Amino acid sequence: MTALRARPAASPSTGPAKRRTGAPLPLALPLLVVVAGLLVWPMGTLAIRSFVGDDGGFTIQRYADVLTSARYLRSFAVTSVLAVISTLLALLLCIPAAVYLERAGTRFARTVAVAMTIPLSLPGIVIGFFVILVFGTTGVVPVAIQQMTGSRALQIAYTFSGLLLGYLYFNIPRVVLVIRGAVAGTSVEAIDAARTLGASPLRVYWSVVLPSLRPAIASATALSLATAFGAFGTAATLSRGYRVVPLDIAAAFTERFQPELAATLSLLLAIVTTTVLVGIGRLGEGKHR
Amino acid sequence: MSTNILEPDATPLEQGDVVAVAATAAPNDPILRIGRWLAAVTALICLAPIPLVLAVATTRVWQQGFWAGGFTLEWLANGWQRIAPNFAFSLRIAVLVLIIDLLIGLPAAWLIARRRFPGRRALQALSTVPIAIPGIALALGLILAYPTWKAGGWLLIAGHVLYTLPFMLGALTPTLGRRDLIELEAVAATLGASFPARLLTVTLPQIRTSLLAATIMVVTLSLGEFNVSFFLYTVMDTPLPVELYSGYITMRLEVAAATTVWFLALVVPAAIALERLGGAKVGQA
Amino acid sequence: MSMSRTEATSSSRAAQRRADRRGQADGEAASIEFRDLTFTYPGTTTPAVNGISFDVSASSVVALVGPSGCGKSTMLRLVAGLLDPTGGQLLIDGNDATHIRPEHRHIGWVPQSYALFDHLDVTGNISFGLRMRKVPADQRAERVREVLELCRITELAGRSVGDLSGGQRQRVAIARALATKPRLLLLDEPLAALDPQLRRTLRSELARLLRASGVTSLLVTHDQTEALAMADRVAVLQRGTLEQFGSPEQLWNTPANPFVAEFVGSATVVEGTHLGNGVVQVAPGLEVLADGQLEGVRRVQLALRNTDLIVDPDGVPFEVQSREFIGESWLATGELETGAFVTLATDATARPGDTVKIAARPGVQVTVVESE
Repeated sequence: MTALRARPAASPSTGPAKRRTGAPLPLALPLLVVVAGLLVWPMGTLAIRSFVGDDGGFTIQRYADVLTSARYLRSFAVTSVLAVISTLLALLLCIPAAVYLERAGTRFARTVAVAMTIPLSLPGIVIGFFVILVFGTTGVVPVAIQQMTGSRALQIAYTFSGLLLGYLYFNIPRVVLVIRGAVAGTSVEAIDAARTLGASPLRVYWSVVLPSLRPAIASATALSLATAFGAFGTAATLSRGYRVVPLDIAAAFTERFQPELAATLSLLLAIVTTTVLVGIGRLGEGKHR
Repeated sequence: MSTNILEPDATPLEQGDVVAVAATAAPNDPILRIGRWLAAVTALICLAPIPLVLAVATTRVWQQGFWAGGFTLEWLANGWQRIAPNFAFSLRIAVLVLIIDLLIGLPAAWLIARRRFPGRRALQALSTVPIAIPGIALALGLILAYPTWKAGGWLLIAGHVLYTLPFMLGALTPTLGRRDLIELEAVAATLGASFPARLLTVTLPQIRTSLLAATIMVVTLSLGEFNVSFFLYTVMDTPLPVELYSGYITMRLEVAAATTVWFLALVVPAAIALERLGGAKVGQA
Repeated sequence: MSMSRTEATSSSRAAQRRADRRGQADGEAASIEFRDLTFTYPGTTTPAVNGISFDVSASSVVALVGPSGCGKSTMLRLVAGLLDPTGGQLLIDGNDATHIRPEHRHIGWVPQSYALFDHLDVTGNISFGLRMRKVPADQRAERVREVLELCRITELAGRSVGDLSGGQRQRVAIARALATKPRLLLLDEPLAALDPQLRRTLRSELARLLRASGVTSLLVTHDQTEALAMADRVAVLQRGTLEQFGSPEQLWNTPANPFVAEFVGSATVVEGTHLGNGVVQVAPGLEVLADGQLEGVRRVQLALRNTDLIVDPDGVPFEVQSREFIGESWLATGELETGAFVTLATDATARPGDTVKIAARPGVQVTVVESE
C-alpha cells in the first residue's frame, strides 16, 4: 500500500510560539457586555443619582442627610445588630456541627448534611413565612401552647426575636457549607500526626483544626453578615415596626418615589456588604498566612 | 522490642513497616459529640417547618389547632390553581435565563479557564460582584439605568441573568480548567478530532456533571428569586415568589401554607439533586 | 510552487482526509528529523528545548532520556504538534511538519497519565481515532479486534475504564494510539505510573509490542535502564540540550561526557593521570587499565563502574562510608585519598566505618569519557 504523505506548503519555521488551545479572545465578549451593561453602568448610574441634588447639581447632601438622620441610623443599627447576632449564633451552632458532618461519615451525618442544604434554595420570603407559621399570631407553637394551657404565648414572629430567628435560619446552611468545605480540605494526616504526637482530641482541635479553619470561619462570617445586611425578602415578610435598611430602600423607591434617596441608601448598603465580604475574607486569609 | 499493650498478639513494628492510619475520627471524640448534638439541633431547626407547613395546609380550620375541622386537600388544590400560572411564568423565565447564561457563560468560562489575558482577573472579579451587592441595589440600578425596559419584562430577565451568571461561571470555570480534561482533548486531537468534534465527543461529556449542577442551580435560583424580581416585574406576569409574598401578607395561613407546599415540592427535590451532584451554592435572603 | 500556500495546504489536507477515509493508507512508519529544534515556554527566558538535532529512522525505537526538566516531554509534545516550536524544523518523512496541526500529523500519543476517556468503554476508546477518521463500522470493528489482539487485551473489550488496573490502562492507551495505524508512536513515561514490580515484565511486553507493530516509536523516560533495554537508539538530554545520541552500546562504552557516563552508564566519573600504555592512576597506588586510545593524553576522565574495583589485600586503603544490599552482594561507597567517591561490590564484611583495601579488577578495561 503506498503511503500518501501530507504535503504542506513550505513554511518558515520562525515566529513566536502559538498556543494551540484555540481560545480566541472574542469568547469573553458577551460576558463583558453583560458585566458592563448590567452591572457597571447601572451601579454607576446609582452612584451618580445619589450625588444629584434636587436642583440637578452635584451634592453630597443626601449622604449627609442619611448619615445624620436618626431614623436611618436606627435602621442601620437594627440591621447591624440582626446581622451580627444571627451570624454569631450561626457560627456557634454550625462550626462544631460542620466539623461533625464532614468527619463522621455515618449515614446519619450524610442525611443531615443533605437536609441542611435544603434551606439554601429557599428565598427569604419563604423563610419569613416559616417564622410566621411557627411563631405567628396563629402559629404552630402558640396554637399548640393554647391547646395545652388555654392561652397563646410565644407569638414572637413579628418581634425582634422573630426577625432574628429568620436571619439565623438562612445563615445556618451558608455557614455549614463553607465550614464543611474547609474541613474537607483539612489534612487528615496532620490531625493524625498531632494525635500520635500525644495531643488530646480537644488539643488537636484547638491547635490543628481551628487554625486551619480560620480562613473559612472568616469567609463564613463575611458571607453571613453580607447576606444579612442585604436581606430584603425576610424582612419584608416579617417586619412590623422594625426597619432595616433594605426596607427603607424599598420604601424610598416605591412609596415615596424618591429614587435618589433610594440610590443613596442602596449605595451605602452595597458598600457595607462588599467591604464586609472582601475585607473579612482577606483578613482571614492574612492571618492564616 | 516492646509489645503493644492493646494488642498483645500483634508482632512488633519494624522499621519500614507500613501502618494504615484510620481516616475517620473516633466516635467518642468530645468535639464530635458536641458537633453531633448541634448538627441534630440545627437540622431540626432547618427541617421542622416543612412538615409543619404540610400540616397547616391540610387543616380545614387552622385557628383551632392541628387538623381542627378535619383533614382536607382543598387548600392544596386551591393553592395550585392560584399559583399555576405564576409557576409557568417563572419556569419560562428560568429556562430563558438558563439559555442566556449558557450562551454567555460557557464561552467565557472556556476562555477564562484556558487562556491568560490582560484583565482576566479583573473580569473574573467583576463577574462575581453581583453576589456581593444586595439584590435590591442591583434592581434599583437596573431601573434607573434602563427605565424604558421595565415594561417589556426584559429588565426582569436582565436582573435574573445578572444574579445567576456568577454561579454558572463559578461552576463551569474550574471544571473547564482541569488539567486532565485538557489532556484528554489533546489526545483526541492527536487521534484526528477537529475542534468541533473534540467539543462534542470529549469536552461536553466530561463536563456533564458540572453542567447539570449548574443548570439545576440556575433554574432553582431563578425560580426562587425575590429580592430583585420584586422591583422588576410587571403586573401582567407575576413571578412565583412575588405571588407567594403577596399571599403571606394578605391571605389566610392555610392558603399561604398551601402555596408554599407547592413551591417546596418544586424546589426541594432540585436542591437534593444538586447536593448529590456536589454543587450547592448560596443565594440571597 | 505555483499554488498559493492556502491551496497547497488545503489540497494536502483533503488528500489526507481521503487517505484517512480509506482507513489505514498512511500506515507506513515514518522517519523523524529534528533540525535545530528550539522551544521556549511563553513567559520564560530559558529555552526548554535548545537547538536539538538528530534523526530517527523509520520503524526504530528511540528513547529520550534525561533528568526532570531536561525537555524530553516538551520534545514529545513538539512532535505531537501540541506545541509550536519557536525555532528550528521538524521533518516527518522528509516533509516539513513544523506547523501542521496535531489532527493532521497522523501520530499516536500516549501521555503519562494515559488519559483514557472515562465516558467511553475500552472499545469506545480504542475506536475513537477510527471514528474521527470516518472509518466504516465493519472495518472499525475488525481493526479494533486486531489491535486488541496485538496488545493482548482481547478480554478487556467492552469493559469500563474505571475497572482497569494500571497495566491494563497502559495497554488500552497504547492500543488506542495504534488503532489508526499511525506513522509515529509517542509514549511519555509509559511505565512510570505502574507499580515497580510490574515495570520489569511490562517493559519487555511493551518492547515486544513496539517491534511487532513496526511503528516508529519515540519513548520518553527518566529511567536509564528502561532506555537502554528498550531502545535502538537513545538521545540523552540535559537542560534542553542533546548530550549524546547513539545506540545503547555506544552510550555505555563511549560516553561523550561525564553526564552521559553517570546518568546513562551508571558510572562514577573520576579523574586520573595517564602513566603510559593505557595505565591510568586514579589515586596514589590505585591504577587501572583504560579502554581507549590514550596516546599523548595526560589527564583523563574515566567512567568507573561498580564492578571495576574489587577488595584486594594488596591494594590502597579505602574507607567505607555507606553500603547498600543489592541481593547478589553489597555495594560499598566511600572516599578515595583524592576525595573522589567510588562504589564497588563487596561482601557483607565491609561495614560503614571499616577501611578495606581495594584495587582494579584484573583484566578489566575502564571506559574512557570522551570529552578529553
